[in-house]
Amino acid sequence: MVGVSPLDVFALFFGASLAAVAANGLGRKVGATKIPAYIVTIALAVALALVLPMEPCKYQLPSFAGIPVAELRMDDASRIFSAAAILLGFLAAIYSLKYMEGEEGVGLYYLLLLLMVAGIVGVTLANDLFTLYCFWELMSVAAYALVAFRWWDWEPVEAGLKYLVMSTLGALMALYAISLVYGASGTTNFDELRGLLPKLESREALGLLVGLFVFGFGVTTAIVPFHTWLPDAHPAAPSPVSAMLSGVVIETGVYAIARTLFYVLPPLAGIEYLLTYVGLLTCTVGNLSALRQSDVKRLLAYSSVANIGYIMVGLGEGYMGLLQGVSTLALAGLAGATLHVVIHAFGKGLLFLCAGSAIRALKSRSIRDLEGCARSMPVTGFSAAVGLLNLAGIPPLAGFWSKLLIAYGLAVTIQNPLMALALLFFVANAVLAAAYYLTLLTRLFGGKETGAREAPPHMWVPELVLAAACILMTLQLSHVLALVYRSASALLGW
Amino acid sequence: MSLLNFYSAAAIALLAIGAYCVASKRNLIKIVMGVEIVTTAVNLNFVAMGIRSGALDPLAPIYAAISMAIGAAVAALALALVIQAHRHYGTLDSSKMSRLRW
Repeated sequence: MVGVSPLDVFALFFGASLAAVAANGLGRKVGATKIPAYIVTIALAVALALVLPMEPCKYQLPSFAGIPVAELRMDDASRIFSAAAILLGFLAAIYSLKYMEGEEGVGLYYLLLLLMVAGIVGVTLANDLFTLYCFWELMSVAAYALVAFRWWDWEPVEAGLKYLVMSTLGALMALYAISLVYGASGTTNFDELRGLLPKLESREALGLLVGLFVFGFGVTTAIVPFHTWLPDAHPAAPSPVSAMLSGVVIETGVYAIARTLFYVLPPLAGIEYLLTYVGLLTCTVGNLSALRQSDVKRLLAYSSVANIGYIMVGLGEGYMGLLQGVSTLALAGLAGATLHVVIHAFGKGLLFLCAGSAIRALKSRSIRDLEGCARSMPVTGFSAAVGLLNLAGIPPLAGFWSKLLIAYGLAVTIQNPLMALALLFFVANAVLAAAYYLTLLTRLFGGKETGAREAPPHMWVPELVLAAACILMTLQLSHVLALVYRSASALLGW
Repeated sequence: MSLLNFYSAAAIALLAIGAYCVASKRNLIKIVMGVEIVTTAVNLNFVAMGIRSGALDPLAPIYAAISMAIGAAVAALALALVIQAHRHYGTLDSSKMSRLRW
């Protein structure tokens, strides 16, 4: 669409948040508490319609007194990540119409949801490090508030506080790295840094920067050993928020890491092993912890940690390809990571929404109490089955192909013993993950009838849409692969 | 010792103090203060990094000011959560809040 700049998307978000605040204040007086919800839902739908057809472009904000302020960019990688976030936010908003009905302060809940999506879109559209940080904090602050949204209960407050302290410290580490980059080069613009940094930085300084960026953004991305907040925070949040947090917020961290490491900073030998092995450690810890869980939302939260691990392995391979100048490996690694991000966003979003429906019907989060609920809730059960099979990586579904693409990258480098070992771990982890997904599936469908009633249409329609998206991605795999390859080359700046 | 090194060293010292405070203190308000000290350290580092041949790049204080505003938002939310935690547990001791592990 010609004439739509990234700024228009933010103008839309800003206008909609003001309207939601006003409607929230007025609505409480006259008793129309649903208006902010409708405003936010419509704004997200319009934003999706604006972002999807947008041409790759750059947009320089007007400078202030001769000082360059900020720059936004739209490329194929930004589009995939931001469109996934807006789509999931839109579906979560529809789901919340029923799920959050009658809760205290529900108008502000929608405002926070909108701000979180705006923050994610901002992170993906930013073209300089400081703008990225500002939007990162917008996303994070909204996420902290959403986790602790049910502040009258002890669990969300404690989990939210833990999330806030850990994630803020991580973001500050990244900001410290940004200040060092700024000090070395005098700019934070991605494209200028791309030209300047290779001349300026010594190997040691670059290693420090990479470490600060990976572990700074990595706290919010929940890479091991900084994942401990996630299994508390994601289950404590309302289910649509858990879907957003697991589906897109942690993946935004992956985007930030990929953008800084692949696009902004010059390549540094050794980092490929750091990324690969941190990824393997993350998925091993995530999978082993998930096996032991009896709470369905905690299980899903740990499996999000595991999936972040697969994505980091993909980034590690891509980095190796970048270092060795093997473009097929670099593209395959990054494309595998991006594909898995999208699949995990849809699949995990879907599973958290289904879990929310089942928990709402049966008033329990324990898997034992939920046994058999998939049979009495046919639509939710079907959607959950699609999501579980997809994330388990059962062959025809898209979840299999993303893991295969990442495993392919490892197989190409098999003469390197470290990468061969990584392949072994990766496959073992994939099998382990399939085991608990399928166990969960049989437990949800097995057992006696629970007598749970199917959720209202506001709740099952988003589930069905996401399940259809998972199936559609499988059917249109060649198109999806073309998209993620374009996104990978955009991340590499090729 | 040049001015740049002096301020950067101060920033690193503040960073260490803040991180120590978060890691070792049990009082929730002190933990939040630790986070704020780290924020201050990063802001100071931004200003320090803006010194170029004796003059200050105008971009640096702008960055620091925006970062302060963000830090204030985070601090406000953190303190609101601390108040709620105090209402639930009747204490500010983080080790008493062991239902979820820290």
